[in-house]
Amino acid sequence: MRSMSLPPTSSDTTDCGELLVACARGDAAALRAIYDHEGGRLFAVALRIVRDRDLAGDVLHDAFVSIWQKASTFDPGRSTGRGWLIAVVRHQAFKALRTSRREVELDEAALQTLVDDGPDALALLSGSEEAAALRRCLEALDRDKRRVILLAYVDGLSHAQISGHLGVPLGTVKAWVRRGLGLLKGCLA
Amino acid sequence: MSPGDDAEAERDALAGEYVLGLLDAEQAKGIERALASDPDLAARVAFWEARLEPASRLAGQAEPDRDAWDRIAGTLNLPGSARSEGQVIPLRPRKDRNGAPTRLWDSLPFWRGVAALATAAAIVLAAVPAFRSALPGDPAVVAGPRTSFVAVLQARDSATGRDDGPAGWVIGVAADRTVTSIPLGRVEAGQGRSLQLWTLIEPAQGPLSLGLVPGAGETRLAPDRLPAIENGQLFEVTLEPEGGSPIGRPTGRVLFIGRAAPVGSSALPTRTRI
Repeated sequence: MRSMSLPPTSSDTTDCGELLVACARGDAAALRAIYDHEGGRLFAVALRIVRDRDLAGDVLHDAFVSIWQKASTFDPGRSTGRGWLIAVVRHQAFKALRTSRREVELDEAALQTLVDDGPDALALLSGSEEAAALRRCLEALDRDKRRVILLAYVDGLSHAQISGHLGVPLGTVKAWVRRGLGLLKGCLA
Repeated sequence: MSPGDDAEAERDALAGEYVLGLLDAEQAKGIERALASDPDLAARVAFWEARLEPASRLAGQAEPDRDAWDRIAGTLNLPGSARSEGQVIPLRPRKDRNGAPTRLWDSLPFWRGVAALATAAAIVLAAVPAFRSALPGDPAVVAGPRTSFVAVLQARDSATGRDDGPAGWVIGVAADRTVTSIPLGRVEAGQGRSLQLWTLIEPAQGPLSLGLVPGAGETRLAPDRLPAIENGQLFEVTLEPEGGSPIGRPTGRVLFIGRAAPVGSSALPTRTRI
């Protein structure tokens, strides 16, 4: 039996798109390669959103089942491989959140782990052109808009949770998100 | 800004909110339905998925459980997974003290499990006339298909994910596919919760609900609930919201899980058709 341990960091040089195309042809080794290269990162994304190891394990399982079954819908002309993979795991994570009927209130432990939107954290966004571009465009936003976007994307918080956490009205959060997305789009496009 | 720009910006914002996970279930479903027939919206969603992806690194690093891959490979019945080689494996394979998966063939607990299964099957056959009537040689079923099945479901430990807890539930399948559910003892679902029985026939389609089951006493389910049964078929009881899973697949914790084994003259691990 092979070791199940994963490398501490996933390499951005892996071509997930090519592996997904191979999965669509029924190549099980390609799915395994995706798991070996991206499993840790996908699990971290799920864990951050659902905040429960067992549930995150189920999300990872369902995501890989879905990746295998839907690989043929991956379009390399439109999506990046890794972007598509992350989207699948996020989709499963939000589905799990909804069906587990999580409380709206964040507990103290959850608040401790919320994403850091400071310059040090954003320095993690490097190593590829896409990452550098996202960093530059996030840094160009004012703090409020950057924060709401990252709290939603990384921590999976809802509008209401962000509103409660930041102590600002719901309408303001929604406006910040929309305005932030508009500015990001202009910067990234 | 022209009205056209406004509409564009609105679609981008909607696609962005979808990718951020900010839409409620209803809105998200609406977007997903639209994606198939709206390439423009699909392109906007793909833009955000690709461009925001580097930020997923801010989620940090975490290592999945060591048996996570085995579960995936088992569900998908991938080449090289234990299930594709005709072995019976729990949904989450058991691990040794160091957490390393063990080879089932060499595993004493596995064979103890087989022995326990046989014993439990014998108890069920002795206790439940419905099962006995399906045995070969019984005049009542001479003309019909002769195989019936029993699954002994073991408790899953929610902390470790191990499926080798004590036997807690027995599922019987008679020759006419009548399913009998027998909790061994009393299982409390708790207020606002229901116990739901599932089976896995076609892994690609996911678990199929056989309905809600009471946590005590013997319950018969109508034969038309179970479209097929074969050796090794998975059965599980999950904890669901009152009235059952709202989405037609398990959403809650797996409480008991196990695989069906044939009862009767042919206990060989062959695929059985009925």
